[in-house]
Amino acid sequence: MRKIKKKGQEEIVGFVVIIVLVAVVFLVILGLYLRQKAPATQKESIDVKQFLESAMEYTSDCITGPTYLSLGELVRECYDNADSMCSSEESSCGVLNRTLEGLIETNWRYGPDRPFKGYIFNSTYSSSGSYGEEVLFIAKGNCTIGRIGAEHPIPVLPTGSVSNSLEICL
Amino acid sequence: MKKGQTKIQEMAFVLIAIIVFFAMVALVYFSIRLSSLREDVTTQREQAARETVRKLSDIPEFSWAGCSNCIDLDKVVMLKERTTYNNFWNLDYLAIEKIYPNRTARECTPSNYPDCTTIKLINKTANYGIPVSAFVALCGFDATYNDVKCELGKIYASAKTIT
Repeated sequence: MRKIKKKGQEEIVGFVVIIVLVAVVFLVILGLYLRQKAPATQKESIDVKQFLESAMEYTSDCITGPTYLSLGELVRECYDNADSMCSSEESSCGVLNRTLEGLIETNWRYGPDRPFKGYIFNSTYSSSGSYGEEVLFIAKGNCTIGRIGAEHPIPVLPTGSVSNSLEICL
Repeated sequence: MKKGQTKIQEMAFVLIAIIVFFAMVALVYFSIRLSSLREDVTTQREQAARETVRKLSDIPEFSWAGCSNCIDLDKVVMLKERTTYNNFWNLDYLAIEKIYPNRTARECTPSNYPDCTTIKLINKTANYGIPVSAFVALCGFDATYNDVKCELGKIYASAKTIT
């Protein structure tokens, strides 16, 4: 009777070991699968990088001095003096916002039925003394699943820089 | 069959089952790894192609002084008229397109420039495939601004050497 009971226990232990083994393997596969999906949350995109670099050279319709300001100069202007006005009586930050929205939305059309669900543009000033002073933030659409993006820094004298990042939501 | 033989047979079956199970797991693992590797290779190739196309904007015939990745559109329009440049680049297709601000799409000629969108410099064959594109800034003198103006555009190129 005792021998039968011991044999039964061994069988149960064997069964439990197999179940644990299968569970571990299943978890490993699940982990691998999820890790493969994970990079979509933030992926460096050469396309977005090239877009940002070229967009910063775009000539806006804001004029504060002798020449029209490029978008990169407008970012600096908006950081240096957020209240500064263009000759058209529109604020430099307002022109920056409007122009950027136009540029991004023409190239990365977004919507629930489109491949791109939205975008996030963030301009942040940082220097050796300070970190993370927001210059401009635009977020449109629905950003939940995955993103592609890039960053483009603009030097601001004397020691800082404004980092412009654009994330396109997939 | 003796009891011992039955035990050995049972163990053999269990061993075979375990080996088959792990083989299947390995198969799934390697198929996942391989598919992600293929995806990475495609992305790398695509990025390299975009970089190559973008480098075209820095050649002296196109480049705008004082800004890398900027194209002098006035130069390009003039270049289009020069037939000597037709076989200068080993490309099947080369075009430059204004993207923003939005305009009605039409090919640029000296008579309608700058009120146009596309400059096709090379179009050797109808079967050039899908051209690789890269964002560039298109700069030139603008009469309404009475100043230099840079717009957003794209450069498209297609050749066997690029893809």
